[in-house]
Amino acid sequence: MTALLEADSLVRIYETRRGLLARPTPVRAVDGVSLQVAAGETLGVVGESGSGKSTLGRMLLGIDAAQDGAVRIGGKPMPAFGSPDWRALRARIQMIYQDPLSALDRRLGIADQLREPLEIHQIGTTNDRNQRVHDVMHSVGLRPDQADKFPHELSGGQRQRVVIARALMTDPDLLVCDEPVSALDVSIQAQVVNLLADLQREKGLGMVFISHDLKVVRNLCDRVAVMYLGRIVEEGSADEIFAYPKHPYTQALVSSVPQPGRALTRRIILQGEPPDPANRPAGCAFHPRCQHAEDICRRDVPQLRKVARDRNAACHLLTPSNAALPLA
Amino acid sequence: MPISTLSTIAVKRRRPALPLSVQVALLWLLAMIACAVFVNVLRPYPVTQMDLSTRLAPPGTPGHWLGTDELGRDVLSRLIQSIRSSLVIAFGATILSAFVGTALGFMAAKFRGVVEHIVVMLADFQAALPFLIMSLAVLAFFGSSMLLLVCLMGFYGWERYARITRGLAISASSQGYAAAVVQLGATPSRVYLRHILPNVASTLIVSMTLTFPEIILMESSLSFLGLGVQPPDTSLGNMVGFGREYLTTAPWIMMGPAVVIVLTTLAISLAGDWLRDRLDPTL
Amino acid sequence: MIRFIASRLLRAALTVIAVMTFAFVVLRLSGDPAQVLLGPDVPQSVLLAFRDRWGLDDPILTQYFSYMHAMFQGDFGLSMRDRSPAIDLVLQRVPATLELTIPALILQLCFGIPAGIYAALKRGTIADRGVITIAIIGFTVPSFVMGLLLVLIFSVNLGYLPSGGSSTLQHAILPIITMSIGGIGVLARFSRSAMIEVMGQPYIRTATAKGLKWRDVVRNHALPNAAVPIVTIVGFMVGSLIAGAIIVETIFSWPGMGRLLIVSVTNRDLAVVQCILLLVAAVMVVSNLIVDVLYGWLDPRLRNTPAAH
Repeated sequence: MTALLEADSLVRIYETRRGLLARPTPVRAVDGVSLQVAAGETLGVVGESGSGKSTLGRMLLGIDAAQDGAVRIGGKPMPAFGSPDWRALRARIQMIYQDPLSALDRRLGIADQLREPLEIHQIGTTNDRNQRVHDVMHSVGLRPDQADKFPHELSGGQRQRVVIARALMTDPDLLVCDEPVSALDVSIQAQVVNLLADLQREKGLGMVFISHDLKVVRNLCDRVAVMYLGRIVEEGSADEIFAYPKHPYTQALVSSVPQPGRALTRRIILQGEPPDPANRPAGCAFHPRCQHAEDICRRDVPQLRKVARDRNAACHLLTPSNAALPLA
Repeated sequence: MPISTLSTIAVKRRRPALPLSVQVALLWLLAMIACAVFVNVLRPYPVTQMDLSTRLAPPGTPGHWLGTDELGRDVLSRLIQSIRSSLVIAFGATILSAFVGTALGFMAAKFRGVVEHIVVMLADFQAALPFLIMSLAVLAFFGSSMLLLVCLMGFYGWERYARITRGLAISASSQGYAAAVVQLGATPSRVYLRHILPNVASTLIVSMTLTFPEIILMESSLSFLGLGVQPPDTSLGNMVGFGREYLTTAPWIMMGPAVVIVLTTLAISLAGDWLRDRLDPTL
Repeated sequence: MIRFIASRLLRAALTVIAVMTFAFVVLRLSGDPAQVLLGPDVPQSVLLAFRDRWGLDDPILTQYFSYMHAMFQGDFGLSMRDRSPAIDLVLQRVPATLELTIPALILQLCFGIPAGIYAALKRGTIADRGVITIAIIGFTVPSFVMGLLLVLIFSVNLGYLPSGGSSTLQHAILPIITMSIGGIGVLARFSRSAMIEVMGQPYIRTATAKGLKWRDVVRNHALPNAAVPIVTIVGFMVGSLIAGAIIVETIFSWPGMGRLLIVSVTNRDLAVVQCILLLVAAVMVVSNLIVDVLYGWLDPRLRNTPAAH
């Protein structure tokens, strides 16, 4: 069965200039990422800032072009950005943003902004559209009297609901969420995450959930891909990864997530500098911070390969036979 | 009754009261616009009609409320006609400069690179010379016609609009709602016309209320120096210029237009300030 | 810092060249330059010699270069009135203009800025409102109206001061005042808002919380920071002073460069107009350059970062 979304060895390189006269240095924001999302499945993409996860999100939507590799939606290649095919495809894949206030037009009432996707894709008659706006508002938990409010008159959580509602207007198959709850208070985060989970269940949406916040990802996602400096270093089912992380980086991340009812013991604290994509270490990008680094790690880039029944990891020291590395 | 209905019986947003000064300013502007529009109805005499028997009559002379000038022409009629000329020129020039400036600003924002550099250089060039001097040079080389005058005034202040639109368009398209609307599937024209332009419009309108009085002053200065509006057409500056010779003997010839210039520019400045305060916090 | 000055110098030079090119283009567009610069009743042989000398039959690019060459040598053509070099005529009038503009600038700086700062410090009081009102009157009333009004009051009705000519010091009083009033208004209003903005900054509150005397807070923290935007607007004032000179010299029959410009424009004495245009551009460019450098020096944030344009 064709996956809903398929990415194949995606590469994206930026040229940055240090100053007006310095040579431009190429930065590999995304370096050979492949992944798949099935219909109705939520894939979490986890990483620090600089890992390339936001760029990956934009590439999956076709906003940033891939210098190498391909993106396929329902088996068909992603059309070029801005082309009429690409625009028409927007009815099927949508995006949720980190900052809802800047994603909404401050001049328009939210009902107008919710109606806009229907107008753009010419769905339904005026009455149909109004009805749909009303229905979707209800399903995300907005009250009808808020229809004429402006974005700045709503709270952060309400604004994010508006963004979610707008994304759902055309009944898409796939949602790409880029840090949708990072800017919200913790209690509101829980509400919005639950809302996303409910909606996904009801409508069978596929979702790519990009975040640096592991506890949210654990709650919501079926599968997880961990990114480091533009590459996926581990992927598998969410429950399995959180219970038995294999890659040293994942182990460090997971050890920092609080578990309810237990004190946070045995934290792995990473040494060394946070990753800088412009200054990528040779060999395995993680080796400067890895306790288990060996010579081969400094020389060769590890490939992402199967290390267990439902687990891929990119580490020289992991093979299908030695299932786990000792922690600490 | 359900809570939601209670809250829909919303408190009507109270409009902040117009300060008295702004009310007076708006009334004055309305009067000026009325003069400009209804000039043929309001004007007692044609502007060129001379009555050599009543030359230099002071204000209050029956039949000539504001007196007459050295050729016996009625000052009030000429004043009303001048209001029309000056307002028409200033209005035309403001629209022209706003249009050109906004278009250039959008282009600079959309295409960046070379286009942006060219626009910035043009703006620098405009800032390098005082506008009055540049106008005088152009008028010297090409002579003063009405059309040239309006086109020339149309160059005044375009760089302000360009700078505003460029800034706002860039910030909109890179991070914010414009990118979001593109991701919804909107065509570029929809993004610009339905989203970016309306957001920019309020700042533009405030900018226009600031440039409008400046253009009136610029045109009046040029006409005063004899190089703007040429006779037989009259403009406010024109009248002051010609009235200058009779400053000692018949000061009313220049007082009328001078007072109108001052009050009109003051009124627009006050109204513009108030408008700016009103437009921004609402959003 | 060197990089900063160098890039500004480059921009200044480019602007001057742009203005020269502008004059060249406009001159060419308005008719045969020889005819236009030399005037109508000139014998054919002079016209031909002129065309030959300025290469007016050469391709346009060659013309452009010889034009620029002539400009840089200070050859701006001959005035139509008396066949003397335009540059001499213009330079002759410059001192008279300076006699008005420099005192006016000084007055503007000495009255406008302190008034604005005082109003900011006494914000909300009657003194503040008074300053604002006077400032508004100052920059709303156009200079020609103000000038005529002053003449009406002081010359005609009160007979204190002369209304035209430039023979005595007294003659200069009304023109200088007329020229400075608009600028005083603009500077006062601008200094006031710059000062108000600085006073509202958190570091001022910190300074007072540290226990510094109010006078020291203002002198050591508020004023230097407010100076930065004020300096930039002084750059603008130079331009409006030059424009103001034109009007004021016309009203008061003052024999300066501004009056020469008007006369030349009316008579279409284009060599002189061209010369004045370039002189003014040069002055503006230099003053903007000084302001830019001063700005870069005053604001340490600009000093070490390369110009980001």
